[in-house]
Amino acid sequence: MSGIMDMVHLDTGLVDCAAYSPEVYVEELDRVFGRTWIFVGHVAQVPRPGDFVTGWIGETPVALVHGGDGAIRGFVNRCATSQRPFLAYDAGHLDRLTCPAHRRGYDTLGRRLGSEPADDAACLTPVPRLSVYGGLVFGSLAGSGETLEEHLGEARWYLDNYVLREDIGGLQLLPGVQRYRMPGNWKLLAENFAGDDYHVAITHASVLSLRAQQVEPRIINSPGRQATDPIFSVATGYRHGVPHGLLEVRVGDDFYNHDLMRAQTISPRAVDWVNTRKDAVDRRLAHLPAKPYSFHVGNLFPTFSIIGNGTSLEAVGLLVWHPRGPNETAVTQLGFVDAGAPLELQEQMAFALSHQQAAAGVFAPDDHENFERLAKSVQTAVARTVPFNYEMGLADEGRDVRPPEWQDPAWPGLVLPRFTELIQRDFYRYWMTLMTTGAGNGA
Amino acid sequence: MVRDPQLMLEVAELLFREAELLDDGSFHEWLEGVADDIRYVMPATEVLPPSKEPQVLKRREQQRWGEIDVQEERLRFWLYDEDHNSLTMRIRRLDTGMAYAELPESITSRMVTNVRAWEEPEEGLIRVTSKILVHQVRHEDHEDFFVGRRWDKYRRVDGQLRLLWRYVELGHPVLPRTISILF
Ligand SMILES: [Fe+2]
Repeated sequence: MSGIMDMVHLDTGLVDCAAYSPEVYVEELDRVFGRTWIFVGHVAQVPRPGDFVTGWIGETPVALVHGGDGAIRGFVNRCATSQRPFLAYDAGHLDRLTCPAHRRGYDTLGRRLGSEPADDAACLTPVPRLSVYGGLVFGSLAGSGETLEEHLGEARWYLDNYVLREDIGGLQLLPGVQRYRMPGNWKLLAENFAGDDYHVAITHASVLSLRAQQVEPRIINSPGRQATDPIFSVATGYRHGVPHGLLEVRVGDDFYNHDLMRAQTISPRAVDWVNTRKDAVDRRLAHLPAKPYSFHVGNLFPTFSIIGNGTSLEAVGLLVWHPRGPNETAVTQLGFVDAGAPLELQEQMAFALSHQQAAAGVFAPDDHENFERLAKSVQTAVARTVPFNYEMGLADEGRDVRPPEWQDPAWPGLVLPRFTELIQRDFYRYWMTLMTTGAGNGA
Repeated sequence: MVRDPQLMLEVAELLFREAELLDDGSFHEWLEGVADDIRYVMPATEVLPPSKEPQVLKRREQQRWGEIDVQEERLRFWLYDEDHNSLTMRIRRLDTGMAYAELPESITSRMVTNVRAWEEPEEGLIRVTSKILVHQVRHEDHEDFFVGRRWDKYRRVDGQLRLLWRYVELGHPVLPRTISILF
């Protein structure tokens, strides 16, 4: 697409408002959502043969189906002949899939029932590629291209050690999938989670002020101003790969000690679990001279966000930003607790995530307000002359801030000051590459 | 047949007064009508295949009335999962003057209807079901409707009914916006 090069200025950190225009939106459905890996669900949503869950890749409706043969497949949720979605429910269990338009039936492997032999045209359209990483299921509408592992890149290290924790039992899906509308272009929501730790103290000032007064200690599980440990932002894939951003990467024992202190108010088993988590990371990463205790929030390009794993007292929230036009986004959000944690700690984890980041939490509605106002102004005549400014930290572009004694060996990723917009700049760098190179692939 | 017309009138007045307090932003006054051991919950609405199995229907009824006996089953990613302390926090958050989701304050109109009320003498509780339609205007032309059903339990304290349990089931598989108001 022509003109994109003029919209993103990496040297000055300016992004033209045209990047959020209807014309660009139509193109990015093909070039971004038709080509990259999009999170479509978790294997725990479809545990038994016959289970299914529906979702989207871009604007394309898709379904994950656990087949009678034990394999999990992705299908475009569209009957091969009637074009109608064949699954009308968010999730469920079926022995056969039936198109509601003319009752054409398919088995759970996507094969048309009663057609011999089952030729491709009579089958459901598969999502061209489906790949699972630690229970996280991603789909790609492109039949070829980089693998999911290549796409995730060094962010895998953060998933393995600080989100998935498979060596101590992994994640347990909480019932209650939340879906809601959020105004704003999908890129603005995604890069907010990827790189914007700066807005937190301002947009969410009400919650932070209540933390200082200890009004509801179950909700904000951080030591706040008492913590002196350094907090970083991290970019992976910087300049050479797919850009993922991790925020509030904490090094040191302040958050661990705070977790312990809070766990003591819950139960001895909760204390044990905080130590189990810490010991497992210490064991896995014993070869590193320094490492994070946790990171709190992040976004894996383009639209897969993670929140809540900053402490042992909060559940993990996984969010997807589904594009719904240049100025509108649909959010799907799942919650997970540590499968191995005692019930009383799992309850605390779920309570904290619900109160923070649920659609009715004390954080998400404040962000909503920002994006609603932004959506209103982004296409105005004045906005078109004033680009978005992502220049914070430009003077230190590309510099890793770790001291030399942490470097041998160093953990993966480019470690940045907490407040920088390098991650957003790199987000738009890669977006521009997708938008200007190769062919699109309808999403 | 209305089992107890006097109770119906009392409960209708209570629900209408509650809607008025919330529409007026009198949240502290609203909280005074809430029992110290309140549970106030709202699950996410999901569109799942219907079940006619008596056990499934019974479980749903138990969930709506807060009578699930297995602790593990209460573990959920709730929209609202409140006790008195967390409700107090939410109201104090609005008082900070920095809760931007409610700056300016939403203009809300709560309409309460389909009210049914009956006493459970052996529990010493009043059970109430109702429907609620809320019109919310954030600012300018940003407006939405929320529609939902409620299952309430009340306890009589010094002659006054205090809200002890509220389960709100919204009718939106995709919420029209994030939620910054009470139901
Ligand atoms: Fe935020």
